[in-house]
Amino acid sequence: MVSDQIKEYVSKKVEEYKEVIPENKLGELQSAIMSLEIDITPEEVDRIFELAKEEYLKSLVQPGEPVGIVAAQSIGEPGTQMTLRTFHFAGVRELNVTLGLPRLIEIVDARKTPSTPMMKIYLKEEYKNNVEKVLEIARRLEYTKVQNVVSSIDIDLANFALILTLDPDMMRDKGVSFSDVVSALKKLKLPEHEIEESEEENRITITFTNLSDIMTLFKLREKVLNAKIKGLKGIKRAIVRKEGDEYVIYTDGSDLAAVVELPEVDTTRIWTNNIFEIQKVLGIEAARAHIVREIKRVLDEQGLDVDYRHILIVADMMTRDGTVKQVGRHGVTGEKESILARAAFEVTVKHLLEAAIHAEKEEFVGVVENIIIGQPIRLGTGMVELTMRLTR
Amino acid sequence: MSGEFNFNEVFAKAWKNRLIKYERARVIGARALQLALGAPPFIDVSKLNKDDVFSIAEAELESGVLPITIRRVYPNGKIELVSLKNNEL
Repeated sequence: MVSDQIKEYVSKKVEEYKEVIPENKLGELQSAIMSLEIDITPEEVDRIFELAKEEYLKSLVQPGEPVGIVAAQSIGEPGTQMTLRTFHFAGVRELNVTLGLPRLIEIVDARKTPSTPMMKIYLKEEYKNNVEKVLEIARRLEYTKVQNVVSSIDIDLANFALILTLDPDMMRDKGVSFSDVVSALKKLKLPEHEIEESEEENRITITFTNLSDIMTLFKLREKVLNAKIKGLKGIKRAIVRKEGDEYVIYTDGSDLAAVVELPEVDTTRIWTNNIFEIQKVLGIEAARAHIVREIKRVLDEQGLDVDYRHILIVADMMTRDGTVKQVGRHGVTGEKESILARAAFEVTVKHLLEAAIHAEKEEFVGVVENIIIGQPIRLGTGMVELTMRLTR
Repeated sequence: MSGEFNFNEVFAKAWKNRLIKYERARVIGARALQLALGAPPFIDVSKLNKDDVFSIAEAELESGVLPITIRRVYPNGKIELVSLKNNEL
C-alpha cells in the first residue's frame, strides 16, 4: 500500500506536471501509482514522473510531420481491404444497417441523410425496466398512416364514397384504436363529407356529398391513406430490444429533434447515425465526436486497426468551420485556400479563370501548389531554414 | 483543453532544447554536402572514415562545432533562432 504521505506528494507532482502532460494521462498515472501494492519513496515518484514526461515527449508527433497525408493513407489502405458491398444485417428484427465501405463513404461525404437512418433510444431509470411502458412508447414513436392499418379500401362510385376496412391485427400491433383512426380522418381537410362509423365491422365509410368528379375521388383516396394517425415523421418502425437489464428502443428512421423532446427519453445516451441531426440539435462538437465514433465503429466492425488520431484529423478537418463539410468537391478539397491546389483537383480551367477574374492571390503555403511550380514543400526537412555564419 | 493549458507555450517549451528529426536530417545533409565538395572538417577526422561525409557531419553536429543556426518559424509567426554551436541538443 502507498502511504498517505506519498499520495500527497504524488498529487503535488501531478500539479507540477500539468503544464507538460495532458490531464487525463496524468490521471491515469496517478491512479496507477495509488493502486500500487508496495510503498515507494519520493525519489522513486520523481523518477516515475521524469520517465513519464520523457516518454510523453518522445511519443509526440514531430513538427513538420505530414499528419494529414499519413492519416489519408492510414485510412485509405485498410479501406481497400474492406468488402465492397457489405450490408450488415445487425440481427435486430428486419432492421438493416449500412456498414462497411458504403457507410464509410457516407460519413466522409457528409450526406444529409444516411441510407439507413437509425436511432437507439434509451429510457430514463423509471421506465427502462418496464416492458409494457417501453412498448407503449415505441408504438407512440412509430409513424403510422391510415394505410398501415387498413386491410382494404373500396371506392363506391355510385355514392362517391370511400369504404375503409380496418385490420384489427394490424391495429393491435401498432397500438391504434378505432377512435384514433376516426379522429385522424376528422382532422383531414376533406371536401364536404359525412363519416359513418361501424366499430363492430371495423368499417369506416366516408361519403362525399358534393363531388362529381371521379378523378378527385381517386386523389382523395390517396390523401386518406396517407393520413397520419400518430408517431414521429421519419420513424418508420420502432423495435424494443432487451440490452443487458434494460429495454432499448431501436428505430428505423431518425428524428433526433423530436425524440429528445420526449419526457421518458434518457437524452444523455440517445444515439442516431444521422450526423446532421446531431449537428443541428447538439452542436458541432457533438457532431465531430460522432464522426470519429462512427468511422471507428465501421473500421472495427471489419477488424481494421486504424489509430484513433488519424480519424481525429479527418473529423477535425470536416468540422473546423462550424459546419459538417464533406471531404471532396463541396467541402474540404473544394474550399481550399490555394487556387492551384483547387485547380489541381477538378475542373482546372474554371478555377484558374475564376481566380483571374477576382484577382486572387496564391500564397504558396500548401503542398500541392509548391509541387506544381517545382518548389520544395514546407514539410519535413523542407520546413527547416538554416543560416550559417562563419566567425573567427 | 482546459483553460490553463496553453498549447503554444507548452509546444515551444517542449522543443526548446531538442532538435526535430527533420532539423537534424537537414543539418547533417547540408553539412555533408559541404564536406563532399571539399570543405575542411571542424573536427579531428583521423579516427573516422574520410570518405563517409555523413558520419563526419554527424560527429560535427554531435560535438557542437557547427556554426549553423536554425530559424524556427512557429505556426503563430513567432521566430526562434536555435544555434547548434556549443549547444546541448
